[in-house]
Amino acid sequence: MSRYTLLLKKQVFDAFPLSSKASRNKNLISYLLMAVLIACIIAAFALIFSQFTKTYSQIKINRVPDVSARQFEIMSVVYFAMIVAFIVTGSSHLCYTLFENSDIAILISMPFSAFEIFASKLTWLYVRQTLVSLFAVLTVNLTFFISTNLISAYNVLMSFFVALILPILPLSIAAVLALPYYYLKRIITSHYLLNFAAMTALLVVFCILYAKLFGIAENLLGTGRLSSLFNERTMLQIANFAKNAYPANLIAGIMLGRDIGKNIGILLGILLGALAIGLPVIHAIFIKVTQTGFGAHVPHVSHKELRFIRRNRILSLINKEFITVLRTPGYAYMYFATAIIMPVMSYYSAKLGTSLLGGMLGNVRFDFELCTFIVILYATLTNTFCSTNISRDGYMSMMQKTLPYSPQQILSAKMIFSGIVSEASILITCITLCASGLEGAGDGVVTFISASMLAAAQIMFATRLDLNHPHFSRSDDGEIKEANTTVSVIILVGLAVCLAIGVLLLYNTVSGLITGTPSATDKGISYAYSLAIPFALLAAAAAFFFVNLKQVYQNLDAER
Amino acid sequence: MSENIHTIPAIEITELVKQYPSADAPAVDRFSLVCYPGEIVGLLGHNGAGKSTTLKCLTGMLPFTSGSIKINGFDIKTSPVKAKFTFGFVSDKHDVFVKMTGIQYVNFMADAYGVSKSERAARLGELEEVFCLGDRLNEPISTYSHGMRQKVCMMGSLIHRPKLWILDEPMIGLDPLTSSKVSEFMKQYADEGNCILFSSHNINSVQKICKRAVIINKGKKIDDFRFDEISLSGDELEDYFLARTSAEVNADTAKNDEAAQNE
Repeated sequence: MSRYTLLLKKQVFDAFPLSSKASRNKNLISYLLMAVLIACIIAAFALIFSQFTKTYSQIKINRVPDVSARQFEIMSVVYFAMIVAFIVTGSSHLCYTLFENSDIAILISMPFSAFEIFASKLTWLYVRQTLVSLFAVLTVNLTFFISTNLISAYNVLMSFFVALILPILPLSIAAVLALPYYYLKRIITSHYLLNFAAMTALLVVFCILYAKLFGIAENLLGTGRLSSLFNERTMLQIANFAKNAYPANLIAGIMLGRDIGKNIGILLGILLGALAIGLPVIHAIFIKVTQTGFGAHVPHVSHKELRFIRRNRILSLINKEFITVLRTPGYAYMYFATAIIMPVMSYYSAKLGTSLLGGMLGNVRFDFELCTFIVILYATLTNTFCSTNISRDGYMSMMQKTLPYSPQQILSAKMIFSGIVSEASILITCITLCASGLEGAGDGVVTFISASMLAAAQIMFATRLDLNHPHFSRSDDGEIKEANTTVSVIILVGLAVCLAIGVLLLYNTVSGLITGTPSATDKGISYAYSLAIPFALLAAAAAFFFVNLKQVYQNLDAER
Repeated sequence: MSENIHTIPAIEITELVKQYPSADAPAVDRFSLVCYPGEIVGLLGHNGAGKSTTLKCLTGMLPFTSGSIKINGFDIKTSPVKAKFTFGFVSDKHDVFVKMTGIQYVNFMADAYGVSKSERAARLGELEEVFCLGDRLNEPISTYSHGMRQKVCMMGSLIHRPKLWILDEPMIGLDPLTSSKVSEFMKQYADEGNCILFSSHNINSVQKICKRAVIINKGKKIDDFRFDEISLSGDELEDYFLARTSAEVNADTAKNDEAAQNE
């Protein structure tokens, strides 16, 4: 076996480490749950994208329909978005491979040449990106060509060709961006407030996009057409963008069978040019790293007076949770960002839902039922952060056992912290819905109590589930790198419960409509459902949480 | 040890057995040990001998199969929180909340043990003379080297002046100067009437610090002696340690061979 192949094999083993039979079984469940979630996401994407493609293709400019031009625009924009996404992920992967993965320091001391290490790492990066590309391109292309009735053997074959070449340009651009990306990341992550500000800024952008998306959906539902959103001016801008979005427009042209030979020729030329620039740049950075340890972090030490702050013992544990989460970008996003965005998402969803149901059912009001369903649904999704309550401590979870705290105190602190974030988010959401007139004040209080009880139940359930099957981090920075089975379980169980409550609430009101006008009794029954079911779930979660708690906590072993 | 007859032992381990579910043999097998205030005891053994498992059972990190453990008079099973208030523990993995700054970690540990604000400031001043982290205490622990993490772990474990200080392989990762300062500090700390138990696989480093050593092999206590009783040093001491542990291995092998023959 050549040394290059040996190194490539090591990369594969690093990505898919050998595991015991028991952990393989656990992983299998995790993979199955993940596959179900991914299948749901793909199905939702295919449904929306196919509908959008059909509607968008009919849009006219200057009252002239041009289906072929619209299809070209869709494909150009989609491929452009893919290229941008690959540049971002490529920069991130290159940055990790070159500056953060400590194996280069070990490998360079072994009888491997720098070029062999470099080539094996780059090959593995390309393989990874190609696998993702294959998945994305096939999903987009098959949906597009089936919905436009353009599916052919040529399209399928070309999809594989495009999937193979698509990662080359982004990786070459990422090679040039890897170093600035690394410095930017280091600056942001070492200043946790800056990090949080950057994350919040990203969220604001996300919120604006989210609002726009809902605006489009609302308009589509209201008018049944997209043309009022995509007016002449917007359409000309899109057409102009598609014309200049190199090389995305070339790929779109190839896929749609336009000037195939010319487009392939230009595309290959661009790719060769990008490789000619990207490869020497990334090789030069790699050589620099292997020779000087470029990634070594030298902290800046400033003189500050040491601050002694005394806290209550339990408050100190809660503060510890806060610091750990705030200073770990992944957790900070999971905990705070999702909680911050929940009121916005709930507001737009409730607005859309009201408009949809209003169109369907006339003057009948479903405000309480709809808002309760939406709030518990989003609370469930944002609450998944509590599924790492135990795992995120890593080996420190063992050290905590030597501190003078009872298991109940340690676990309570974690749940109180999760509860504060979750309850604050639910409260702001309910206030937003009431203030915007989407729900009455009395209804809002019931919605808040219902969602709060469900959130508490979810936190208890998730914490105990994580205690039973923790996935301890093995990295120095304490971040969990792998997918946690508990997250998938929490999402699926949470969604099932929310759908059950939502369906029950809507059924109660609809059945009231069928038998006559909805009465006060029906509202009372809706209140009872939305309070009794969460209360029962909270009681069940508490029972699940406390059974054998002390024994399970004592048996917690991060090293086995 | 006659002067300790009326003193409550800092550590009282009786017939401790720890059996991991996945293992054939127990990791710790009927291990007993009594240590008194003022003593520094070295727990010696090869890798995998059962030192860390014993310390983990002792500190409440792991549950044990049978036997009993008392720390400063408190049973670790029935009064775990009271027992834990009386000791400080430093693990061999330098486990620490890396997202906290050094001072935040020390404050957290002081909160956990209920140390007053003025007391923690005075205590930190004393510990700084040994560990010398200085301004780095204001930096996140994630930026520390292994040795610095070990130092901040030690500072955190001592912030409440525990009657018992337990350390698992404490000298690994420390530079020679800090190692020497820690050794001196340990002696002084024991002289103040506190007990120290630490594990190591290096008999010479144990001899420099303590007067008493306990050898553990395959989870069993095979020797408990005072260095002045055997009056050996340097290579002789290492030979003694190797002879004691290999004698046990040979005896085991002979027993196994005999059993195989009988079968």
